Amino acid sequence: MKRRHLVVSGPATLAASMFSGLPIRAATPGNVIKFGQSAALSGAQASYGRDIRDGILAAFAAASAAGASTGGPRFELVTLDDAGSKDRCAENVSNLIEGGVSAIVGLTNGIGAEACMPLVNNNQMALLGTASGNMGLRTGAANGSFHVRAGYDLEYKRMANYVKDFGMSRIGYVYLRDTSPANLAAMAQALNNVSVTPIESIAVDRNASSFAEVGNKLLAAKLDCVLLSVNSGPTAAIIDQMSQAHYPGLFYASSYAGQDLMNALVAKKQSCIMSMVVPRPNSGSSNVVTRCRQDLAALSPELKLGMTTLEGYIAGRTAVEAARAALKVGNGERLSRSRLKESLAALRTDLGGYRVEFAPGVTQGSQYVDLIAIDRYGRLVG
Amino acid sequence: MKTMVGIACKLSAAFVLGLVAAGGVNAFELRGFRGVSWGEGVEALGASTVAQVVGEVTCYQREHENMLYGNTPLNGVRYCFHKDRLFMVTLDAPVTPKAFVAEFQRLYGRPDSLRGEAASWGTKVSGTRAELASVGHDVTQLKIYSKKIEPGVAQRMKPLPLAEPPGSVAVRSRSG
Repeated sequence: MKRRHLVVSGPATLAASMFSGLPIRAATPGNVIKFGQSAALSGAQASYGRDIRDGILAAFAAASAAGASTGGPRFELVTLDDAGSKDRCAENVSNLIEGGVSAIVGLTNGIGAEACMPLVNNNQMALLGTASGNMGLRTGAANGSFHVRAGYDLEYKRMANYVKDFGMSRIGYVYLRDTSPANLAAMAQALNNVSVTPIESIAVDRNASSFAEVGNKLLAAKLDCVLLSVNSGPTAAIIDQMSQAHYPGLFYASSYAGQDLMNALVAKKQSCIMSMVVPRPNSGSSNVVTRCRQDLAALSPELKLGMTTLEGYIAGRTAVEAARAALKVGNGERLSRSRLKESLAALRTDLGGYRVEFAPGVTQGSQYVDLIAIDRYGRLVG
Repeated sequence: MKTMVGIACKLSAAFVLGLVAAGGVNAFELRGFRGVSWGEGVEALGASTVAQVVGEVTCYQREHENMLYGNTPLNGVRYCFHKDRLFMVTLDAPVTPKAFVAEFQRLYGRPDSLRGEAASWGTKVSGTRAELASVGHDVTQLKIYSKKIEPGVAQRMKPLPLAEPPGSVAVRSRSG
C-alpha cells in the first residue's frame, strides 16, 4: 500500500475537496490561491523535504495574514510526499495539477522535477523554485521552470575554482547515480576549465544504507579534496568514515546536502566546505533572513531557520510576489495558471538582500553562490 | 582617412588594454594551500609539529598530510608562519626539477620564468609567487608564498633543509 502524506496550510477539508475524485481544471476559486508541492517527507531526504515545505508555509502564512485585513488573497500549499522518488514525484505533480493548483512550487527532487516538465508545460503551468540546481531543468526544454536559486553550473564553477585556488589537484567526485547527464556535464566543464581531471568519480544511490565501499575507494585514491553533489545522508556517512580514517584532505559539498548536513557535521565536529545558494542563515544584515526567522516563528515556535528552510521561504515569497502582480494586472479577475506563469516570467523582485529577477527567456532568477566552511570544531567560518 | 586611422588607433589601444587586463586575470594566484588561507594562524593546520624555526619564521608539518602532489610523490609539506600568519608553503619532492615543473604547470600553466633548472610562476600583478629549484640530487623544492604577507622574508629565505617525515621532529604539537 502506498503511503502518502498530505499537508495543507489551510483547513483539512480543503484536502478532501481537492482529491474527491472530481477533476478541477479551472484555477482556484475565490480569494484563495493554491500551490502544489511534491516533497520528500519520508525516507532518507525527509528532513530536507520538510525544511523546504516549512519555508514555503512560513512565507504563505505571513502573506495570508498580511492580506487578511486588506482583502488580499489567502495562499495555500498542498504538499504530497514522494519519499525522494522520481516516479512518485511525477505522479504527485499529475495529481496536483488535476486537483487544480495554480502552480507547482518547491519540488525537492531535481530529477523528478525534470520528469514533470512535459506535464507542467502541457498544462501551461509554472514550476517554481525547485530546490535543486539540476541543470536538466535549466535547458530550453524546461522553459516553464522558474528558478529562485543558482544552478549547479555556477555551484560547480565555484567548487572548481576553490580547488585550483588552494593548490589541490587530486580530486574525487561523488554524485547521484540517477542525476541528470546535464549535471555531470556541468561538473566536467567546471573542472576542465581549471585543468583538473578527477582521480575518482563515483556514483551513489541516494537511499543506500552503506557507503563504506565508496569511502574506501576515496581513501585509497589519496585525494586533496572530495567534491560531493549528493544528499545529506551519503555525504555525512562518507565524511564520517573518512574523517575517522584521518583523511588529510578537504570535503566540499554542494547545496543539495542542505541544513541537515550542516547539523550532522556540527554535532560530530567534522569539517567541510559547503556551497550556499541563499544568504547565510546567521546573517544579521540580510532582510530576507530576518523576515524568514520572524515568519517561521509566527508559524510555529518549533521551526528553526536554516539554509534549507530559507531556500523554501524564498520560493514561497517569490510565488506570493508573482501571484500578487498577476492579480494586480488582472484587476481582481480569477487567477489563471497561464497568467501566473506570465507574471513570473516578468517578475523582478528584491526580497530583502536577495534578488530574484526573471525576464523573457531568462528563467534563472538568481546567480547567488557563496561558500561556508564548517571547521573541525563545528564552527561556521569563512 | 583620418577617421579610419583614429578608429584603428583606438582599436589598437583597446586591444593592448585588453591584453593587459587579460594578463591580470590570468596571473598566477593561490589563496592558500590545501584549504589553509594565507594569513591564517597555526590553529588552522590542526594536529601538527614544528619542523623548522628560522628567525621569526616557524614552519610546521601536519600530522596527516597527502604526500602526493598530482602524481608526484612528496617528502614533505611545510606550512611557514610569520607572527602566526601563514605566508609560505614548501613542497619537497624526490624528482627532478623538470618533472616537478611538468606537474605544476598542468594546473598553473608554463612558468613565467625559467632559468636552467629554476622556474617561477607569478608576475608583478600576482598576489602569489611560486619558485621551484633543485635542492639536491633529484630533489626539488617548490616554495609558494603570498606577496601580501612578508614577501621580503619569503624571498630572503634560503631553501629549507629537506623535510623529515612527520612525527620524527616532534617539538611542539597542536591538536584539534
